[in-house]
Amino acid sequence: MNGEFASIGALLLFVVVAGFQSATPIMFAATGGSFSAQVNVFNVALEALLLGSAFAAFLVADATTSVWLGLLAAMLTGTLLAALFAFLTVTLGANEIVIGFAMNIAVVGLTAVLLTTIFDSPGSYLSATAGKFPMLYSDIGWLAVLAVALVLLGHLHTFHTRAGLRMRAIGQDPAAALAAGLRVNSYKYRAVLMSGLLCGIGGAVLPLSGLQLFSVGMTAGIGFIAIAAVILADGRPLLAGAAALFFGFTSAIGIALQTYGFPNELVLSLPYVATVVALFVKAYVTRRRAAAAKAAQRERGQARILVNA
Amino acid sequence: MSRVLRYVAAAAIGLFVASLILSLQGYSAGAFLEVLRMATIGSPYAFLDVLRWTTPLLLSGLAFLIAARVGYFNLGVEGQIYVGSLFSALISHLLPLPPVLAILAGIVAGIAGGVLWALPCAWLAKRWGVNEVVTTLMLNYVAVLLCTFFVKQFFLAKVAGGGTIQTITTDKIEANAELPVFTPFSGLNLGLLLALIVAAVAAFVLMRTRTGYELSAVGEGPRFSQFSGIPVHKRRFQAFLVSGAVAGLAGAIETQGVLHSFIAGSLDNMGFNGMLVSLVAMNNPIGLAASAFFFGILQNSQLVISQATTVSSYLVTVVSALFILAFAANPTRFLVDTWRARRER
Amino acid sequence: MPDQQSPAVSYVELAGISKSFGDVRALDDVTVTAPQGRVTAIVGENGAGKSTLMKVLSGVVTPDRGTVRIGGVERHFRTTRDATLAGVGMVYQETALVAAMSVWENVVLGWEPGQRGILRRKHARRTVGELAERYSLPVPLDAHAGDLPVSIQQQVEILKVLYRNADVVILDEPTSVLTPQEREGLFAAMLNLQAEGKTLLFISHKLDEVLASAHHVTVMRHGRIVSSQRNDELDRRGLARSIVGRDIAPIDLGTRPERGATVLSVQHVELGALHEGPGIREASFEVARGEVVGVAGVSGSGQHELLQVISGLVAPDAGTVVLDGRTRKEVDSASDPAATLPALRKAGMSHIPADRNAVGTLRRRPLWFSALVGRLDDPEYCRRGVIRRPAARALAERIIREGGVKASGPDALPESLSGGNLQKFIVQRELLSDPVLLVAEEPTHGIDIGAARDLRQKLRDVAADGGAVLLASTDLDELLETCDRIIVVFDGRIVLDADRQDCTEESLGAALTGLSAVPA
Repeated sequence: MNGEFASIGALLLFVVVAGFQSATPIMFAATGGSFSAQVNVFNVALEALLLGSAFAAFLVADATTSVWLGLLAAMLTGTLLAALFAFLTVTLGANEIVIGFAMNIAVVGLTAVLLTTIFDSPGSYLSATAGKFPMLYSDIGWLAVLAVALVLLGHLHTFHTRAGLRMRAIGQDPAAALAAGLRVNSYKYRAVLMSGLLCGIGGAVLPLSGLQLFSVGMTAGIGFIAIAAVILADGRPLLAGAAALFFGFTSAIGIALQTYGFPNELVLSLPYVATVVALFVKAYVTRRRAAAAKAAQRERGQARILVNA
Repeated sequence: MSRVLRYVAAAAIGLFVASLILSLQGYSAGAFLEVLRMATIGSPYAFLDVLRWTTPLLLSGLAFLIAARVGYFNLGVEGQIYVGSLFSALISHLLPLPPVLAILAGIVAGIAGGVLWALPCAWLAKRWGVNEVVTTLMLNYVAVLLCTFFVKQFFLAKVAGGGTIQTITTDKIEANAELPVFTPFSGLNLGLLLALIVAAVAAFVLMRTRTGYELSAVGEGPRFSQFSGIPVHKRRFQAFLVSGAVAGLAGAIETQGVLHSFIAGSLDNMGFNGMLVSLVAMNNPIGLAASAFFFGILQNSQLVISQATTVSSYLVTVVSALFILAFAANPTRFLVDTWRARRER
Repeated sequence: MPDQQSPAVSYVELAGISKSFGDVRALDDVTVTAPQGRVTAIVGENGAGKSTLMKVLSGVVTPDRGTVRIGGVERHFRTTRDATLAGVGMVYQETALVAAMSVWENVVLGWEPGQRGILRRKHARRTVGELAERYSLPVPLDAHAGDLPVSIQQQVEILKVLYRNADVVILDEPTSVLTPQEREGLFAAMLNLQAEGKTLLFISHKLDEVLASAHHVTVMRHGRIVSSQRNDELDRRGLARSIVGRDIAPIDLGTRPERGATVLSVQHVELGALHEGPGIREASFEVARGEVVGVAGVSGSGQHELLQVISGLVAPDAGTVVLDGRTRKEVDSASDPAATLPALRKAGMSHIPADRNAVGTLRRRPLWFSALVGRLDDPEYCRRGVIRRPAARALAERIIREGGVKASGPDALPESLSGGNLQKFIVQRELLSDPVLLVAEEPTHGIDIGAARDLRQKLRDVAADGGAVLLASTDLDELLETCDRIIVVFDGRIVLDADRQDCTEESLGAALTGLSAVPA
């Protein structure tokens, strides 16, 4: 970007467009991650799911020149990787953090190896054939609309469906859910696979909008940022989506600041710092609220004696 | 027995995938074994290079392990090494000292850098219960960006002739601050001895002393610890900072022993590999050195692969990650368990 | 005693059931029948096999041999869902509700009304409300289950079973969490269920309750049926003998010494609202040498917190705790708990925690690890920061020997010990230091009658040797049998502090629920 913006309006427009652009994959991943969080699976593999499906989308779109086939491949890859994560953690009972993180390393390595093998390019490859997803306005794709819609659907699924109720019950108290006759592991699988599917879409956005480029480790931690969004929202899709938007806009503001001469590196670290700060604020607010609730409960405790009498 | 099976199964899976990828590229099925051979005993100095890589891996593994003993996942070892490495380089530029003192100053600065970078995550986890997995990962990215920024802004190496350079690097540190190397043909340096001493001391402390008892108790039974009068949060916090300190030491040794300057990008994955080292040692300080040596071989194989084949050296990353996946998931236990359960039913 | 009408048809028939876990024979050719509209009690010690038998009936455990018939139809349950579909429902001892969900959500969970996966919230809530009305179980439908007292949670569990159209209702030790008054409420609910033609199975080890509520009593021991009689043919002593297989001698209370010097003095202790869990308000009492003082309270009343303050785990916000032990230790509100606890132990405080698994021992470390609690300042076991393993092992061996613990040695893992043996280990560890004050929380929970008796005797012996004991228990019988004095905590206050002779189950029950205002 060269020079400053012509007007405040142009600046705002830029921030909105860039904000949605960077928030879109995070929203997909955060909504998907919410489902995992609901069944109390700490899905550290989100980053791996995004990167793996990004590569699949890029590869297939480049070969077939169809972004839609690319999207399909990405969704498939995301789901398959999620299935692997679910098998290792839910069925085999391995540690979620270890598996999620090792999967992340494995996918970084594997995509790099394949990039070299297939495109003969060690670091990154610009595709001339891949094409890009249709745009709604400027750099905001229709997939951003889909992301928002899926956030809303995720909310409905969580609070207005049988499966949503069951998944929340399993996450909050697996023993109680088991006692109620629920098949705990099958719902855990279902939730993790849903994460994989959504991360698949989110991953496809990365190389197939803007530049048709895949580079090694191109997710750059947005999967982890999505995890932070999920933690901030306690697994509620609406809040997780909002948090994802917030992180997206943070990075957009950063890019805008760059045009005013702020150093590149400082600006790029904004979303990461914002994540840590947001987690702190959430912990602070939660603790304050718990203390207040405790005080209120003591007040109610007085009344409870009267009820018993 | 089952432990041996676990390692063998994990190694077999890693080896299989590596061989598969290589054979798809037209190499023979045994090519990866040949790579491993060349990386260890292929040349007189290959073995020394393995030890050169073992040094930082041992320390970053130890850093991960110390935090893991109290129940923290310090995934920020990567960033802590970065900051440690930069601090170690900067102190040499800012404070020229006589021989031994210069080495010590660099090491202390590196440790300080590691602690500094672990501090916010440790405090957030201890005081506010903020999930350390996310904060440490986030600060890794910040560490890389900030270190690059500082070097670019204030300490960028001057290039002879005034041309532009590609790599972000500081000037070479003072010769006084360099750790002596054993031979001029390998990066192996006195740091290995230092790392071994630190690891041995840590093993003794963790296994035999009251401190080690308390750390294990805190990690495995926080309520038991509280009941026993052990200050749980304090011990956890301390362990987290010590973890950062060890990571910082690894960074300092890289700077003073091998790189002789801070070079952005040259430390990539060192912290993450430390996690793998510690996991393979099953968080047991005794097995740590063996595990670090094993990953040292893999690390050295990277060079061999990029020199001898057209395959990306990331192949080794894939192999180590798959090894860990198989190891952590422990498929053999699953098979044994289901077989046993079937008999019980 | 319930009326004994003409014999009814057997609705539930368990015939020749056998089940082994590894080498342990949990059930050995067990045959039990239960008629419709009646209460059939199954009694026995912990480990007698009654829970396993009920797990067979509710589909949790598949038997090795034998048949299950419900209403004359042979059933083969492979999951709990199969049993639910056949009309068998189980109300567990520990309530299994999702704390952060509403009562109605808990009731319908797993069997929610709705179409194509969409949850019909209003419909579901109304159905649960109607059901609650029909069986006179007045539960607050929209309250979070976790906020409710245990007795109401139990009613929710019963509703859950009824919502699933159960004809057979299994109640697993349902009274162990209730006060005497709440127990009467449960019995009333059970009468309602009988009137609706349900078949009730009532698991218990408390004889009085069984005699008061059941038509038929079946006794199990070591995985077998040892007797099966109608209620009106039973006598209490005979029943007790058939449960244990021998007579249980009452514990020896010893001669109560003259009220000795005060060991523990608790003055105006306050624990504020900021602390997690219920608070404590204005708690004051004293414990003297030679006394066993019982502490009672329904869960969440603050009695647990009071003991945590006394044992140094939680610092009070105000007030003083003075332990006049081997060294005098005064703890005031500003104290750091980390420093308080070791000082209290040094002064002669010992503590048997309620949770022997997560608090009392370290599950995956050898026993000698757990033996070292409170002893790391002793140069015998830790010199210049280095732990002396031979001494630690010897200590663990001594605890195993003197406590009669069944364990392979000091290197055995706590998780390999049975609950009763682990408790013996912890008790012996805490007794080893000749405590001036022994704080014991639910020490006999989940261990069999014989071992529990021995343990109570040990508490009495501590008092007889001049020590003082604080015994917290939800089992009023235990308190009445063991203690010299009983303190009742309700809503963070001490509402009763009386000698045992002046206490009855009824007066304690009233105090526990805050009904009486006996001044402390």
